[in-house]
Amino acid sequence: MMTIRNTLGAVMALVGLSCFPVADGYAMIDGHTGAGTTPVFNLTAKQGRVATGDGNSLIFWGFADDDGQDSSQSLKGQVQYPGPTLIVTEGATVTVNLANTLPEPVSLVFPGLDVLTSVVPVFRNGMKGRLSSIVPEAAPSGKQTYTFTATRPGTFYYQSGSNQAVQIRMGLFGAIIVRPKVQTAKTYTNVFPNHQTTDKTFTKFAYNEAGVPDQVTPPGGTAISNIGASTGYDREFLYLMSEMDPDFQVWMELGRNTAKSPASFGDWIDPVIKRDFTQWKANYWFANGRNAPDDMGGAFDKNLPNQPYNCLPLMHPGEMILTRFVNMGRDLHPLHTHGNHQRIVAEDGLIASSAANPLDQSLTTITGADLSTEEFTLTMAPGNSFDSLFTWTGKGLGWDAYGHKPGDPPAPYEYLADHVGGPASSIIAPGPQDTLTSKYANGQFQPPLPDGTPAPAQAVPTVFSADPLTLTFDQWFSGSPYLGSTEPLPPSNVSLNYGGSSYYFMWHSHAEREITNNDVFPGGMLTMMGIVPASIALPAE
Amino acid sequence: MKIGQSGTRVLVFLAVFVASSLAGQASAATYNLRADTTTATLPDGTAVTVWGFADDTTAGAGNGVVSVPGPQLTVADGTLTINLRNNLKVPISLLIPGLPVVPNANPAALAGTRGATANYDNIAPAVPIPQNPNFPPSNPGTISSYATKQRVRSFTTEVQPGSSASYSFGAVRPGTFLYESGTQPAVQIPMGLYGALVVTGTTGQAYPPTANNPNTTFDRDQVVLFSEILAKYDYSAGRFVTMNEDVIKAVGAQTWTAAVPSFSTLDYKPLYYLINGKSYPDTIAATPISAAPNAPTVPGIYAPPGKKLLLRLLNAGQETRAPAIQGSYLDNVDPALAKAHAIYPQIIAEDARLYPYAKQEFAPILPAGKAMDALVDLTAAVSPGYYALYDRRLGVTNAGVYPGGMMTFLASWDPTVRDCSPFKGDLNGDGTINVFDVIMALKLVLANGYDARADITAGGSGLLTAGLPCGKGTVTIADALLILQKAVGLNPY
Repeated sequence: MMTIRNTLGAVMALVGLSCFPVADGYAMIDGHTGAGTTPVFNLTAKQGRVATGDGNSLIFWGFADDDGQDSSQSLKGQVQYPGPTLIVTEGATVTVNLANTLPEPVSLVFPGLDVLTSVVPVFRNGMKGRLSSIVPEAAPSGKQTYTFTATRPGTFYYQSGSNQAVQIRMGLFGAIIVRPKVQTAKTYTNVFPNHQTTDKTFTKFAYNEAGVPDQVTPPGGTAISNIGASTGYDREFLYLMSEMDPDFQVWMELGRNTAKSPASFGDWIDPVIKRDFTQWKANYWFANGRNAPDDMGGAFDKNLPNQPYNCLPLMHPGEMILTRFVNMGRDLHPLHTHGNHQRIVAEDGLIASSAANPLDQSLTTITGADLSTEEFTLTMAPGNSFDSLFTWTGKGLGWDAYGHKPGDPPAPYEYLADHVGGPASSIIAPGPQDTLTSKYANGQFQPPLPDGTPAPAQAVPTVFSADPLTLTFDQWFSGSPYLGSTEPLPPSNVSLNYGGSSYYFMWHSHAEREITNNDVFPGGMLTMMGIVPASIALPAE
Repeated sequence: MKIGQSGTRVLVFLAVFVASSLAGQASAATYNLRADTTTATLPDGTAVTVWGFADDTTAGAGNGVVSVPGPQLTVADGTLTINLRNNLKVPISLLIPGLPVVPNANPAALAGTRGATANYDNIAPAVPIPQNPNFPPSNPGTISSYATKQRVRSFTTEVQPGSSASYSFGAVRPGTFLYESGTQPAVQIPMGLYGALVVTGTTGQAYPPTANNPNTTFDRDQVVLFSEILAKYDYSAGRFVTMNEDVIKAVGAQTWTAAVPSFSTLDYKPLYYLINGKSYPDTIAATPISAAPNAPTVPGIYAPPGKKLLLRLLNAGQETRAPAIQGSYLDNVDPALAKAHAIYPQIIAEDARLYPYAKQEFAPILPAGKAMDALVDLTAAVSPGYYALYDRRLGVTNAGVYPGGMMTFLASWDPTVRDCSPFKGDLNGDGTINVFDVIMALKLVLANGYDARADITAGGSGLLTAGLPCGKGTVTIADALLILQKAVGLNPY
């Protein structure tokens, strides 16, 4: 469902005699990959329209990529919400040329990135205190060039430094991803103790860790996996959060004096609906520029011409997924990951370690203790970025999530203690069936045969035969409680289940009002993270 | 004062045995604060009546200037006594979250008999409400009602209008603190009864360093206290009404003791956003927000290159803030060798406790009531800079007008060496740069004269110094040209 593109050239040769790719990678994060050591991006600030999940249409101000993206479905010159995701490689000297078609000055701030062009504010006409922008700006119909060095890998963003009370609410922001230039494959042993597969080999990393050993030995102990210090991942996703007050957006389009430039937030006082700027309160919440359910549609959907990015993570059990969170709104958005804790490995583009100099992110030697934290609700402050790792094997469910029969081999990355009849399992055969509940001793459910006698144990995996007249089925349900199984659903049921046999966990803002569209549930910052059985191929990264 | 002396005695006693391990001299500091009414004038001319504190030379002297936030209290570690005089019409109190009060040092403990102390409102509903039968009345056989109930209105012992009281805090340790009223806090804190307390330890050191959080020294420190003025829009009157205006009206001319008027703060939202009681552009005015003595005059917070600045971030407002500090500096005077470095404030402590490990964030979360110490390390900086410090939650307006509110700049140059202020070029000092300034600059060039305000270009290779008009010690035709460009709106700097 995600659009996959080649990022050839994102990984550069170290010795630098020539720029040839040493690794072939794919990105699940859509964006514009700036190739080489001196990539140039050409952005234009424009006005456009977003379509909300409930069919509303609101104006926004955003950036267009004048060169198109490295996608088969280029959005050349089309303004988008959020702005194009700029992807570069550590060490690159990046130039961003900004052109401005909006009626007021626009500028670009790059927090955490080492900006080479001057970062002095613009004061209009020498008038003391009449600040126009906090960094050099592109005047209406004007241009401005910014250059920064992508010194450290990490997740960053750009945003306007002009009339921010209006322009950040209007959408002038986007993500920047800096990938480490050295990505040497590493194997970590015993990452998943007592699983069918215990080791992990990573070829992609969020941060540098060439010198980080794959094992550490605690004092007096035996060597253990150093996975806690790793930022290796199999798949990556972007969660760029933002929000809108629709009354403000409508006032910007229809209510304000458009001759007045720059637009004054303080002029928004509407006596008819009794709303004013002090009462600004979001009522639409966006992940990668879309509300639920649109965020789960395909990327570059032609029906959403200004919202090219989707937000639908899919993974196989045992895969490590990297989520790059960026909060571009002005409210906190506590992003909650169902299914497991996420491990926050970096904040604001700095890996969570106790390195003496945290800005020295080369990490070619062990520089400090691992300070990553496991959370299931991320305190995501405005203007901050976070990188988190998430994995899922179903460990500890207490039953065989795959619905194996005795004698079946365990699935890849299956937790052996939960495997039916597995060599290390405490759960062996399903055991006797309770005639009242139709449950076996191991918790598996199997309805009795039509004549009322217990079904034979070897009949598992089960048939899910709940009464379709009294139950509703959501669109992500496979019909079976078991991963990798598909069972009949009521005839009218539309299934969005990937491969028809996947698990889904809702990933959403834990401020529950934020999972509505204009007050109506469901919507907003809500998406489904799919666990796809290993037997069903996912697009290669 | 009695407590302070005994505290000193304890330390003297300790010093006999562990003299070599004592890092500093404990002391007993006393402040004489007076709560009173004053007027805060905001950059757009709006005048708001606020409640603030003044620092009097002696208790009741009445010679201090009332301000919001109240005067910055700076004490060495030891014991702090605050003699509080209340010139307001309602009872107030004083507490410092994070500092223990000295037991029995205060006039009457909160645990006093209900009704016997003034910490409780005696206000009761007009109609007696039958008591919940599951909670039998304290006097069996009678029907109790709210008439005998009281509502607590203060976290600590109050000072009645027109009275004075003394508050003592022991075990004062280095750190950054808020002091604020503990009475009807939903009303009294937004009205302005708050201020900053800095407890200094070893000179130039925020906290005793630890092995894993060793960088606690600084060259300069600066309190950055965020707060708000609340208001709601009156659609019939067609104007914003501040909560201050409505509270003053509700209090009226009466002096309140046993009861204070109830007041709903529900509908009031921030209208003005303040840093140290000022909104931008007052935060970069000639006498800026710096409380540090002998600070050179710069438009904003003085943060010279090559030095470390400790920002003592405090939030006395009602909402969470995200103070963003953004910009980059160069580490070499030779442009061919210079590398740029983003400013990553290093958060070393929270709520006056050192972190086990510092962390670097460009927009830390600063919730209401929070204290946070952020080190801005410019030791490697050789370029001047003028870096924005603003609230990323967009409290950057004055009554909705951008720019304003919680925004200021870190002025990173030494004006005693060379002034890099972006407001240079205003030679006649009328607040604007226009053709008259250009003519004055041209006259200077022809007469081989010098005026630092006309000294713009760096000379040599670059027109400006990292985009700023730092000058070079002479005034040339190039300077006059840049002032001309500025006068016609081209904004070369």
